[in-house]
Amino acid sequence: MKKLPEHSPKASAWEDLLKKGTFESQLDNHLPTLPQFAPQDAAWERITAELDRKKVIPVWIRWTAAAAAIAIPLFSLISIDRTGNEIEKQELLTENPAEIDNSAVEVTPSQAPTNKEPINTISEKAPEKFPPKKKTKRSIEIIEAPKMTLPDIELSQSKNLSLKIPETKAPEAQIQKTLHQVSISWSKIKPGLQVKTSFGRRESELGQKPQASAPENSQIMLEINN
Amino acid sequence: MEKERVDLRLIELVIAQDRKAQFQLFELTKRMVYSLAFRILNDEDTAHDVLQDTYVKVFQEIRNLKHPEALISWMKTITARKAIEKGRKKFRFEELSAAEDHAEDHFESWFDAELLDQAIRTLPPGSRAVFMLVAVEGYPHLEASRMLGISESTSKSQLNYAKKLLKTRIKTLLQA
Repeated sequence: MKKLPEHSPKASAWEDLLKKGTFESQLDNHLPTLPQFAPQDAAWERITAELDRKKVIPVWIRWTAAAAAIAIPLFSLISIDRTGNEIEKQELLTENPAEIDNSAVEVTPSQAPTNKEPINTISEKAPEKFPPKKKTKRSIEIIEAPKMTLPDIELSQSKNLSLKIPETKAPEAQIQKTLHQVSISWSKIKPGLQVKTSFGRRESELGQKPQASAPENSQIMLEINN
Repeated sequence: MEKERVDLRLIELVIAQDRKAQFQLFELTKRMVYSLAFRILNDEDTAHDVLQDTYVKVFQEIRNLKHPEALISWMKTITARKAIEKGRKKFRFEELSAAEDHAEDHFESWFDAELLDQAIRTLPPGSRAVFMLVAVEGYPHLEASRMLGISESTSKSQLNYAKKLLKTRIKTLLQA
């Protein structure tokens, strides 16, 4: 085995080592004995106050919070379930009357398919959020209505064909065509043409007895001069 | 030292939420907790907040501590994590320049713990946090880097940077 050549360190190596050792050794010696500082006297009071404040809160508030955290989602789920059931019930209520009505309209079984068509279209348009329900056999059976045959009516065979018109008095309003009164006389004295009008009469008179067919107004006087 | 004073009986009482025992534990450990928080943050108010948060957490979760003999190191870890949490915004881990890397390595002076403490407080927040966790508290670089959210190599370079800065600062303080 050959001997490798040896090299000597710098002349200041020992001094450098001593110097470095001086700082590091002094550091290691003094770090554990660094001076300690004391906190303020009120520090303990603040700690106890904080401890008391935190001690009151957790016991019952935590239980309440936990109960609330459980109860709120539970109630919401129950309420959602209830509303879902109510909607289902409402759907059943809305479906069955339609079928009942349909059957009521049906006179003959041949007409049934035509009447059922709109109901099917309604059920197809139902909102998708509700799952399609199975058709139960609850639907009301169609009852066939008996055919009613009415007797034929023949006009020729009828005996009493005379039309009986009830006697009705002509309305007085039709008789009165004017409110003027004309009197004609054939006496010697030439009366001239006398015209009476209802102008200036009270409305009560006009409204209550406006008809010319009234006894006092129905007088017609004709005077003819020879 | 604190380990010897905090006996298991006291820990049992603290677990039982005995207020006197809690106060006793506080009196025994308050300086340690506050000093660690203060050195990491270099701010009294924030250090007091960390102190309060640490003891509240300790008293609330001490029942979950599986090894009561590790109480002190557990409390230190809580303090360090709380301090890092509070001072995360202040921590900056700049890339070290070549000039700083080749800083003067010559050191012949003698210093004491008081002077070292003053020099530590003048360090930049990021390198000071790394120095406190690794050099003072003895965390490995991997754990310290995880706590600070940096890489392990960054933790190592920041520690070297802190030591070089400390030499310079101690010299400056000695010359003053």
